[in-house]
Amino acid sequence: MFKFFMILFLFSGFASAESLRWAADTESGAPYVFYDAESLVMTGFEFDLVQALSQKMNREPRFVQNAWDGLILGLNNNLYDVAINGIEITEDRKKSVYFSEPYYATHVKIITKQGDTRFKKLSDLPSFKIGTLGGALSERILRSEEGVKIVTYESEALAHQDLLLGRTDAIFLDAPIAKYYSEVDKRFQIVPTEIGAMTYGIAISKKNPELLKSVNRALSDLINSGELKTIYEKWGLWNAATASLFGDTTLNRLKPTSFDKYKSHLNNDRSWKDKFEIYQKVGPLFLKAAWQTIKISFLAMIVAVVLGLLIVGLRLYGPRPLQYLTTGFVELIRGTPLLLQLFFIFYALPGIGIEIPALWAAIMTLGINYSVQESEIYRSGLTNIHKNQIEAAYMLGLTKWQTFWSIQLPQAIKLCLGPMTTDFIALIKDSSLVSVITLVELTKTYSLLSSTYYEYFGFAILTATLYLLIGMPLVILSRKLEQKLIK
Amino acid sequence: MKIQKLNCFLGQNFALSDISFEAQPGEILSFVGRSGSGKSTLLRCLAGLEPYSVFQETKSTKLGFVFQSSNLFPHLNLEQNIGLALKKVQKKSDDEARVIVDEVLTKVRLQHCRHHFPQNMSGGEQQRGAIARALSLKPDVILYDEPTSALDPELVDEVYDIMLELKKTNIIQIVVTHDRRALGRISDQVGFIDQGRLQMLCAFQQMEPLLQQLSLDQRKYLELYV
Repeated sequence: MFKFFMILFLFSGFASAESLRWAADTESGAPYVFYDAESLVMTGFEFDLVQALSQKMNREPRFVQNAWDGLILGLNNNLYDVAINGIEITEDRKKSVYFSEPYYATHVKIITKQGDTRFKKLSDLPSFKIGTLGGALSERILRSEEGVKIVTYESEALAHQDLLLGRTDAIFLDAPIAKYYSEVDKRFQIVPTEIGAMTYGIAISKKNPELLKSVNRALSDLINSGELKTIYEKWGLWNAATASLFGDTTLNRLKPTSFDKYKSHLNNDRSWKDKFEIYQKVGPLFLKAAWQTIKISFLAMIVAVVLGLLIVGLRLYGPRPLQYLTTGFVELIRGTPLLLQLFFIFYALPGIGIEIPALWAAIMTLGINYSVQESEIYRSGLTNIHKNQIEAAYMLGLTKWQTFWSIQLPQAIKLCLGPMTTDFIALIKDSSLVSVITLVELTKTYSLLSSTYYEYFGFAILTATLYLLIGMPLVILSRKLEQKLIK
Repeated sequence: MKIQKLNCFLGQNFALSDISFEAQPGEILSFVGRSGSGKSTLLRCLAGLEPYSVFQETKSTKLGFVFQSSNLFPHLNLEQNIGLALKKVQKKSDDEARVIVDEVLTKVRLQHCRHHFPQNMSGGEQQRGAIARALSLKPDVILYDEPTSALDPELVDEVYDIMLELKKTNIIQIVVTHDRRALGRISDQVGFIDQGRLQMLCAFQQMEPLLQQLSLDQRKYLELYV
């Protein structure tokens, strides 16, 4: 039971003053940072590194989940202190963050289907479809190789899936990933050739040079004492490149116990009983994620309705300048992607001193985005009313406000109910985008857990069911209201 | 009611120029004319729905208006349609409003439709409902903009019957119409509007001799009515 609370706790990304807030993306995170399939406790060689590091620094590690693409952005916005997630030290990244001394050195490997002998080295890849992870060294190497048809993935699990399905001819990944996803599966083989060279570093905000110093000090302690090497040995990741990086030429001494444990959980033929246990284990996590989705979408709906009414009010009845302003606002919001708006509100606004917590940023962005669509729905509802009725109301002596309230609004509501329901259901589904700003909702939980258990199909059905259940009350409510209004 | 030299501009053109007429309590005035002649605009000016200028006018402010169609609010039943302004504008209590609703529904013989929604009423019933709603505010004048042209012929008479009954209550009724039967059946005076001017105004019976003053084209149109 304790373990569950641990995970729930970790999922909430809590942070306090004396802690070392560290961020990673646990989605298909093996062997870096991931959830152990057996216990659902967080693990990984970088997880172990963080534990050892914070012990040396005398700080309490606190985990913050963030999508990989957002890791550096979040650092600059002080969402956490360090980002440790196989982030390669590059000149480009050095411009926006500090990097610690490298803590691991590795290279890229080609992975093919078992028995496929077409690919031996990099120059064999051109003219083929090659899968890789976006934003990594592997992708840059492929780009420099002319004629390669690159397919980029966000998750290593999906890259492997597509190779099996024949959607790609080979995949091209960091060696640790290859070891944990390809070596353990008989359906794949790793080409021995080592391509490229890269080092991972701990990313730290440029506002925090003190932290950089203490991280480097602790890191060098861990290297000199051999503790870091022990971690790599346990995970089966100790290699020549890292050995020369550390100036430590001693041989491998330890059995890769953590790697073996990981392998033992990768059982593709699970019995019904095993499956049942897994579903029991993940059930509460899915429910918690569903609650997060409900919270975000329903609060966003309230924002959308209130703001939508305000917008339509100003557009139809406001003074001229405000009419132009709101029309411009509507076009701006409607014409730009929701994802971009999320990034802007959460990662760009802090640049001008406006910091909004992730949950509220998500609710606001979704709310604003949908308020524009809502306002358009209301507008068509309000303007679709016959002109005679407005004049009839005037002749009866009703004021403009009374006409709006008693004549236009009730009829508009009836016209709007259907489109509003559709709009709200779309909002619930769009709430899945907020995972880019550190929030773990239903879809993110699906990708986290399905890549932990390789249970894509069953979890997808579970997730879809939860989405349907969340939307159901809305559909029923709007049907009831519609019937009541039509009578 | 007395109107002298009413003018109305819509856009850049004269929509109406120098319209003058007089109506006594209980009279029904019918205005005829081709589409675009300005007869509907005259009605809308009298209702205050269009801006106009006038040399002199004596006109009650208690006006009711009955449109060609879509008069009743579709989301309210007939009782609510009539009660709305009584409660919201005249601040009557529910009980007071109910008494008035009873009274006007009896006048237009629609007691049976009290709880019906407009879409469940015939066209004639809807128009009578609109008249009842106008009556509920005790107007001195009711303006009708082609009140029967959206109706099937057999429903037209039930509207005229009500209008004739209202003559007894001293209400002035001004009707813009295309219906030739209306002129003879209900009108005390007939006005002919062409090109924004009142070309002729007289009792229905006196129309024929006056036709000679009009142009051939205008005469041809009006002869359809006589």
